Amino acid sequence: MAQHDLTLRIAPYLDRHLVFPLLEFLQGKALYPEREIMEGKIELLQRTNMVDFAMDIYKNLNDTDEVPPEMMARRAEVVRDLRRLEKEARPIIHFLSDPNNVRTLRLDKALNLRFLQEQYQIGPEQIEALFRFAQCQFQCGNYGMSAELLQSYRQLCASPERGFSALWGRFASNILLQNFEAANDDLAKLREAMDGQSFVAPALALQQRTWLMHWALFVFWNHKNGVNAIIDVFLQEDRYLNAMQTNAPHLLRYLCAAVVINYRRKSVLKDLVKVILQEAYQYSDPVTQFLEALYVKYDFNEAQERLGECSEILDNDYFLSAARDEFLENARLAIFETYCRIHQCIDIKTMSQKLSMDEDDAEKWIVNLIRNEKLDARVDSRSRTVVMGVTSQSIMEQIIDRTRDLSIKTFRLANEIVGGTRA
Amino acid sequence: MSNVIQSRFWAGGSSDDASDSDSEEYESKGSGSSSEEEGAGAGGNRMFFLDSDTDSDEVRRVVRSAKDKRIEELKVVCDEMRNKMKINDWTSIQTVFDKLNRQLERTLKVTAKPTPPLAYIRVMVELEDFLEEMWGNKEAKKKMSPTNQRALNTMRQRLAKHVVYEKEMAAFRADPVSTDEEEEEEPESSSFDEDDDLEAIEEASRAPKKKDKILSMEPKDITHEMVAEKLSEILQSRGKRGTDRQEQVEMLTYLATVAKGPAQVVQVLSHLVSSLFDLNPSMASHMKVSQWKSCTSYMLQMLEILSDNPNIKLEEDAEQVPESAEEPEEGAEVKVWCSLVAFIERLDDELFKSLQVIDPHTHEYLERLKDEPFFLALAQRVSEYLTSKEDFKGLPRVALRLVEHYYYKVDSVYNAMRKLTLEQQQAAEEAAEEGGEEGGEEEEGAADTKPILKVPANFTMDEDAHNALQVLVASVFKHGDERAKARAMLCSIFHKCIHEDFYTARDWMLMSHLQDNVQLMDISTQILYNRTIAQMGLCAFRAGLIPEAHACVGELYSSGRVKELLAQGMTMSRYQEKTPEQEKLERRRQMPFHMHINLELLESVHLISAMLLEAPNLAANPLDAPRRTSSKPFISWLLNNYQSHTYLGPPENVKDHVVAATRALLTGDWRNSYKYICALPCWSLMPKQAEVLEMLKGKLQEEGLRTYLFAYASQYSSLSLDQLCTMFELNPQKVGSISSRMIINDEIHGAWDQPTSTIVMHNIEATKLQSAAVQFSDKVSMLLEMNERALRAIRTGNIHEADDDGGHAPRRRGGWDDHGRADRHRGNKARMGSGRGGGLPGVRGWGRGGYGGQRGSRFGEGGGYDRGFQAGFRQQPQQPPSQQSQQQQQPSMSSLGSLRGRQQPRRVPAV
Repeated sequence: MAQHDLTLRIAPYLDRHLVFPLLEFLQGKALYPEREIMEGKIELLQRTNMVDFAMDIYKNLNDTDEVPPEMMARRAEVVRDLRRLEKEARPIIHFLSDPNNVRTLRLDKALNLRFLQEQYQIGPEQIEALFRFAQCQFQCGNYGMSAELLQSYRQLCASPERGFSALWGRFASNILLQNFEAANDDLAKLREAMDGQSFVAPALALQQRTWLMHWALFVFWNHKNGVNAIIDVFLQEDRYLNAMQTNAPHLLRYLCAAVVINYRRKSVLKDLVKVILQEAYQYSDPVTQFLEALYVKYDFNEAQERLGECSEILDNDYFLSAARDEFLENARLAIFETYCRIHQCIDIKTMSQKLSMDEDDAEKWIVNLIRNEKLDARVDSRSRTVVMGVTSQSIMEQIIDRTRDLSIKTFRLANEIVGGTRA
Repeated sequence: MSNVIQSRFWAGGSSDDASDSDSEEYESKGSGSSSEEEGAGAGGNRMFFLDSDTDSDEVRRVVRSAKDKRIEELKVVCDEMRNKMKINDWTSIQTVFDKLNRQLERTLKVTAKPTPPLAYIRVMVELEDFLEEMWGNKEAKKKMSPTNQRALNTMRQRLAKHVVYEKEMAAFRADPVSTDEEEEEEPESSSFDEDDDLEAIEEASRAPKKKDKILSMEPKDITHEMVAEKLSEILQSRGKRGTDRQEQVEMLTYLATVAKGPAQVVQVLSHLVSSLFDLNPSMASHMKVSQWKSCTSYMLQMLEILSDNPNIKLEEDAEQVPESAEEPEEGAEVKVWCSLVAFIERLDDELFKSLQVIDPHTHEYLERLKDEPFFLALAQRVSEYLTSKEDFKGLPRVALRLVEHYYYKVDSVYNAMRKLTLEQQQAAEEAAEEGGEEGGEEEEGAADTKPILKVPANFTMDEDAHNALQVLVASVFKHGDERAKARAMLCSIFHKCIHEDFYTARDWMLMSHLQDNVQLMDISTQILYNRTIAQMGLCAFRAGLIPEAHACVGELYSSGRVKELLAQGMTMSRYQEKTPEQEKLERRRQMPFHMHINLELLESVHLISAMLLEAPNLAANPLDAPRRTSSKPFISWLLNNYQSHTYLGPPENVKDHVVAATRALLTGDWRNSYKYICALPCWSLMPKQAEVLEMLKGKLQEEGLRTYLFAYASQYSSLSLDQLCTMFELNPQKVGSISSRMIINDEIHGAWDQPTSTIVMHNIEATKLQSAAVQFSDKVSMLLEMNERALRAIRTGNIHEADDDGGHAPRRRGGWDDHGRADRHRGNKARMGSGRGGGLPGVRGWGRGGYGGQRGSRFGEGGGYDRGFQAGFRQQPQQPPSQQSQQQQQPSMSSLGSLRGRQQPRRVPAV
């Protein structure tokens, strides 16, 4: 299963802190040797400021109480840095800690800056210090603090670039705080900011979009409306779809899963299938293969097979594991529906095999579908078959269809003419 | 004076239709020979005139007329001028110049002809040349005294104003007949001999004396200075008329053997190479093979020395090299004029040209091809040298040349080349062992005897062609300019295609945005682009990607000038006469035979892929014009063409075969279709022949099934899966998948009956009344639509205008959309088509045309229109013929340009 694990492909596009939950998840799944993951964690933490945590893991891993001296040195450095930055940022933090003060701030940034300068002697340096302090807090794993500080910073900072960075920082903090509602807002703001940027180097824009798509996975698969949002964002032709095809075709898995789960939005299937086929030469996994088997080859046996693999993959995927059952259920429905569309008579027994269900269960399931008017069919219980309603239109129906709106249109036409002469 | 009038009259009579210069020639001739009996009617060439002039000199000794005396005096002044020039004394030159002009006036009065004597013209030309030389030579100018410098300035200004005899001077310069001067020189000097003009004797005889001296001396007595002096002398005469180039080469060859010190050897060799290049003055003809080889060997020799003596620095700009007569100290830094890169490029061009000209079916061609390793070895040495010197300006140029030698070689050819190189190296080693003593002598006479060329032992070709190319391309990308980068990119895409890596090739092509920019590039790059596209088509075909193959190759064929686009032969066009210049240009662009892409193969690929794409559609809509065909209904057109024949013979050419195959396929008879395709002779040229045919068989089966279902499904009430499987020899899954897709897409009206595994057709036979009712309802809705449109027209005011806008435009737009949808529908990776068919709005939008929004930011959406407009404009036929020669060529060379050009202008007014 490890060959379908995407952690390694996703990780380069994530912040160090964001990779951590993924590793944690992998540890639970035992796909890789425990030791490797632990080492990976230390490696990961080495460059952050979460030294204490790294030390704990090190002790745990090597089963000692000894800690390498460079870790100790690093710890001292981090503490020193933190102190220094805190001192620098103290005036502004002090100012911000009073809600009355915050209330005095206006929307106009220039005005705010002048106000701060005059009333509290807080200049641009102190505001910059606030940003650095927030960054340091984030590095230390103090996400709540950093999210709050960055929020304030965004109110004060003058340069749009720094504001942009702060936004990324806040986005990450909110994700790590599992505050997905706020993260979703940040995501929308980030997208807006990125779309608003004109004259960005194409390579940079590509990189930013790729990053955004990866970070957004956390939101999409945890927020209640995420499954819808992921389709909206990822299939956005010239921006994100292109970026995905160029840089990160592995994201297709998440898009496919979202489309399958969100079965109401069948309309995007066609586009999705096209993308899958286009990318088949550089990325394919059972999830994409499932859709390919179902909607390109119309090979239901293969689709069934792939679905089996999908279940395992989804189980081992940090983002998708929660959505596994929903995925399987909807996938089954998709198979069945497609199957019905091209058949007029189906043997319940074979059908039950295809759906990997008990024969009686399958019959019950089908009958339920028929009762909910999701399916135009009847069950022939003597020959154990389902007979589809004939879908083709009779000529009379065709004519009725075509002429149905004639009268309304004519009426409107007449109305317009009369209205025109009156006017 | 009557003389003058007569001659003028005479000239006017004889050259009434000739140009001005002609009449002048006649004039001077008439007056020049007036004292003698020789008629001007004879010949009319310049030689004659000169002869007559000198003749008169000799005659003069007997009867010294006033005229001759004046001419004599003039000549003396001329010589004085030369002497002053020699000592670089501009103040004196100025006074002599005045004197000369006065003298000329007097002379003209006597001779009574409008043109001055040749001696005057010559000295003026010399003066002008010298002045320009001095002017250009900043170093020397600095050394001059201020007064001298000032004099130089004023002299230059005066000379610029002194344009009285410009025409004559130009004629003198232009006259390329080198023998003139020599023939004249001798009698002149002899005449001066008798006149005891000592200066003149010295002047005239200096050159030959010295030549003899250095040639006759013992090589060890020759000093560095002597060689340097001689070299500069040769260099000064270089490019002037009257110098025998062959002799110069011999001289330099000799000098190269006696030169002292490595720096001087390099210097002499570099001049030798460039004078060898000079031997062949015309761009059209190629250098002699023997000369080419000696050039190569000299350059190898040079590189050998250079790598042994790192203190020698090469300078490409001749002006920056100080002229030093002294022998430099050992190990000191020396600057030498030599442009390795330019030499390499010239050598490559010459090799290319010779391959263009030589008949490819002869042994000579093969022999010539075997010279390629020499060039490769040389170029590699040069690039190594440049890398060591960190010359990143020249490096990409050399690397690009190498790339262009490697890129089209398939593995087998590359390996053969490697083997050949190794053999040549071995042969060279053996030869070296045998004739170690002879080596020196041979080199001496290398220019005239057969040159011995050795592949240096340290030259190795990379075992893997791909690696070799990658390294070179990387260096071009790192340091090269835009054109070099584009070419290198195209070459590596081409190489990828040869090596069956279609996807990478395509991605590179799209990411580099070459198809957007190629129209702006030079023609040779456009040819390379077209070649690459053709190769991509072939590669896609081999990989079984039929739509992609068709998209690539179809574009080349849509213009009908595929030969011209690929530069593989001239097309005789019925509609467009080519001027000789155009033809010459085109001939110069031709690809040598060994680089050709087989046209028959290309045509087969094009037609077969068109057949596979179009046959099912043809079967689906047998009567009306095909709705959803691939861009051009090529096959259906061909088919109609053939159906008008009364008798159809057995297929002969590619077209016949494919048409026969299509006809078979249309009845679902894939076996016969396959047989026809297999009978094509060009498959032997296709790499991986068996696999490709197997792939084609599969495709024919699938498309045959689709065609069959389209054509005959309505005749069945049910079709059994087994029967279809046996008919098309496909497995049940495949049949199921294909027919299911057709059911889903509503292409056949039917459904599977699972228990019996048959397709049950729901054919609805409409009664007459019903079909009439359907038609009626159609008409009614059409009437309503018309009414709506009429109402809109009243609202907007102008019925006619509105009809134009509202009537045709939306329908057309709809057409485009349909097109786009059709392409989408096929579910193919039409990225190819989308990127390339940039002009089609329906298509462009949805491909991967712009990676990560690059397209948008770089060109903007409007870019396509602008470019299309330009291309279209260039293509307009009503252009003055003078411009046509250039402009007509450009779009024609880029297939894209023409494609866009045709489609875009229609949209322009709307924009």
